[in-house]
Amino acid sequence: MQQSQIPEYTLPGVLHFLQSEWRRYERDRNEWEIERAEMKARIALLEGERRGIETMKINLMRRVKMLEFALRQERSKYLAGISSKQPLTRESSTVSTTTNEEGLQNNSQSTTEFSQTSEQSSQQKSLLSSRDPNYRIKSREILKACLQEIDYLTNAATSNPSISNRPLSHPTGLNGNNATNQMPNHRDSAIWVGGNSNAHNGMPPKRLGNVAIRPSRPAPTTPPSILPILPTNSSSPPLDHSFPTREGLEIVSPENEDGSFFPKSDGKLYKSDDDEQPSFDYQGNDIIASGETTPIGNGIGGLETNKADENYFEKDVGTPAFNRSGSWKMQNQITAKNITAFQKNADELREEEYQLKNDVQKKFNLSDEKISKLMKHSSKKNQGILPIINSDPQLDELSLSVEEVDNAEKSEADKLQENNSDRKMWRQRFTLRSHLDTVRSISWHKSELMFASGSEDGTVKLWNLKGPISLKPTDVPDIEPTITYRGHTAAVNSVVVAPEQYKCYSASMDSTIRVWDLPPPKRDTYGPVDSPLNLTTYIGHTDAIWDLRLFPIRNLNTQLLASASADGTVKIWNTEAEGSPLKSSWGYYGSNGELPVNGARPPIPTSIDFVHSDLKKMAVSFQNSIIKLYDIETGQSVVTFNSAETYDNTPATQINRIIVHPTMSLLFSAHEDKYIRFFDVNNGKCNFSMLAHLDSVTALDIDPSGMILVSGGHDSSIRLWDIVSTRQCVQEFVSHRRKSDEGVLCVEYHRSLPWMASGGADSVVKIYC
Amino acid sequence: MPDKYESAFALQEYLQSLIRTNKENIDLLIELPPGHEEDTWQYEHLRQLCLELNYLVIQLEAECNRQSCPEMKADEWMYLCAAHPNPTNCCAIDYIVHTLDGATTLLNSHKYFPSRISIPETSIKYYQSIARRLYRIFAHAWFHHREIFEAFENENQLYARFLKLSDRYGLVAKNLLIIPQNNNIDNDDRDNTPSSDVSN
Repeated sequence: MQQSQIPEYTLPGVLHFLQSEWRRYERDRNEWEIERAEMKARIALLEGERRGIETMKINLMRRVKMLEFALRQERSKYLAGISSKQPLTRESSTVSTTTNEEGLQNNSQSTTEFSQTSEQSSQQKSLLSSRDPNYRIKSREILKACLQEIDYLTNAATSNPSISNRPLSHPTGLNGNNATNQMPNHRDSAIWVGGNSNAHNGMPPKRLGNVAIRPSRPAPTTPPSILPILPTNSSSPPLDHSFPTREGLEIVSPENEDGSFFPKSDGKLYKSDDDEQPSFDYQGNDIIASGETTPIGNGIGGLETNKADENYFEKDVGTPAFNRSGSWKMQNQITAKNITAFQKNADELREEEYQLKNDVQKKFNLSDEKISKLMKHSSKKNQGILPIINSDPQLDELSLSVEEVDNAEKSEADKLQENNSDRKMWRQRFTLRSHLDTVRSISWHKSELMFASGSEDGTVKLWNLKGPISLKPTDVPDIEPTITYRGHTAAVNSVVVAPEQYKCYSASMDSTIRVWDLPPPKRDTYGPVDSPLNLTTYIGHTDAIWDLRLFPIRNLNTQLLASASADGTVKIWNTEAEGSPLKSSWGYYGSNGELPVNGARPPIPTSIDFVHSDLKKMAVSFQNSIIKLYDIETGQSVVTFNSAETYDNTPATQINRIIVHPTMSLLFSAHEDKYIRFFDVNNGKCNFSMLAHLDSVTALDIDPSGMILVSGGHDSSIRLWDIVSTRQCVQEFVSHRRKSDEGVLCVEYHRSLPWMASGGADSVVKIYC
Repeated sequence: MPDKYESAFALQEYLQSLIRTNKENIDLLIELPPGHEEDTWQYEHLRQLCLELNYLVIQLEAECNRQSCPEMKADEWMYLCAAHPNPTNCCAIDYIVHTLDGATTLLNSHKYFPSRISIPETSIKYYQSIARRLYRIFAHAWFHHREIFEAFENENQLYARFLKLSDRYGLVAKNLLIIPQNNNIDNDDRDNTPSSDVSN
């Protein structure tokens, strides 16, 4: 009966149907497999790239540290009263080693254009110190003058230096293009070098080496070379420049483009070229070839474009172009090949540093191209690249300075926006739970991935992230502290790690400062406690200690430590002294200043910091919202800041924390009434004042490059501020949960690695990278 | 339970303010604030115990060291440290420090105690093991460093609070409470054989 009802289901028919279904299924599955493999390859590529960028960043930080170290040495020399001449020359020779090659080449092949021997010493100094933001403005001025001079000399034939006209009005002006077109390219540090070395042709080799110092440091980094295909650039209308890219390039012969095109790192231009005129890529290759073989860029304007310069461009700017074209050609090759190329490059990385720079740049451009291609599948614009671009703020600054020299048509706001968008965005990496109450202070180890945290639960904990960092973020178990220092009988307010002394200091509400032994890094959390961890205790304060700072320079037999206490005094301790460590002590009115007339209790110090640009002085903020500068030796008040603008005689308007900029003569204060203020250390004037948080500001720190100020407040948020140009918030994130009306209580940057830590009222320490 | 504590740490804030103002009133300290779960209340108490036991440890460190107490003993009992892959015969101060560290880590563990507002059912069993081990710190102090114990107890009434808490929520088995109580000295169940604790 049933069979007759469904006669169409015959065995062969069913089999056929099943077979075809199976085949279809298999086909789909294959497709999925392929897709999956593609995705995997892409993930591997992106991950590799990220690693590469991280390596670059660490390299960069290392360089920054090197320079900082040199600066510190210089300062300690200055402090010791020794002439600063010696460290200067030594510093220059060490720093210039990486760039010596170019410098020498430059010199040997260049003809003397300017004789500036008289300015030599002063310029050298300014260039050296250009690492110091103090002198940035000065060096900028000098550079501006130089570039103007070059401009004038090289552009004698023309009177219109605007970019849009240049390629057309200089169809044959090779050098004019070379020199002038460099400037608008604020993005590319290499251009800076070009302008610079041109300007200083004919100087002694050493000098040239120095000249190249600053630009050469950022040059090997990825950001400038990635930037050409930054989405920020390409997101603006590609043709809004009205730069007649096609016409311009068609008019200009390949040789001319050596001058005019290569320095152009502007993504818009590249982009449109590639899109509209793929054949142009071959020209790019030609140019590179010609650049390598002959110094073609001689001629008009009298400015010699020497071979070294061109090489430099090829390496730093030219390669992107080449790789762009190269990768377009490789469009059909499988991703796996790119990955192996990447790995191969990565191996070379270690062999030679200079090679490294080129390779990495090459590789990044390759892969970036790859990404942009992939992105195009989903959207026409490659917006998605942005998050992976980590730009060093210093580079932004560098580019900014070039921007300023050049009066390009871009508005200031545009530039700043771009600067901001390139900045590193911090993301939370670890959450460390072990404290039982509010975390009040954090102090990183100078070089290791270690830090100490001090909490209201009376303990100080030492953490080592070396293990956890190697794990995948998802696999990280509960991270335990390496050691818990027990000894304080009340909340710990401040901790300082002194790796050079293998010590850690902590200050507490119990009015003592305790000195702890830093254990060897490999210590087992549950190992036996053999030696007493609490090495010694400084007793002297008679009330809670609020803040603790270590003197930035350690001499042979002195390492100063400053403490500010609710007993109204600031005390300086010499931690390496035999016998009594207490060196000096003074209150609000200074060591021998007059006492208050009416017998009122003098204001209580709330925060202290050493003035890095003048290490004989120390800044102290008080509960009455006054900041004073004291001479460390005499304890006398030197400068009183104009900082009590909003003070209303209650602690609700006090200063919670101050921090002095590591290089500039700037001081920042965090106020209970939500303000952050910028002061000039020299005269105590308030430069800038802003409502920074929704609640009291409690924590401040400055990033190692000196460009970003980070602040934390009771509104639970952490905010990063651009302190160099815009003074605007660059990033904000909510971090800790509130307890007892407190939120974030401490934020600190690692001094040499791209990490940041914060502690809050929720007893948690968070680590960002 | 006052309403003024609105944060995620309401219970902790409440408990801490009680301790600040009413340290002697142990019954009030233990009293579960209305509208809250017993589990979270115990949890906050255990956290606070670990926090305050730190201060007892600081006092103990003055005279308890590898030489004075090479083994973790309390009365006739000897304890083995469970902080290691294999129970180890740590000296008393190491045992105390390891126990405190371990308990702190466990109470802070994201895996077992992901939230302070609600405690997973499966994690409640750890309260007993934590309390049992913390008790031994008191016990060691009582039997071997009586002066320190008394001074600390006069100051903080921490042991009294612990006892009350344990009693209320049955954290430590009666036969394991080896410190003689004021009225009834409970020595019946004392075992003269060394016992070790390997449970986790």
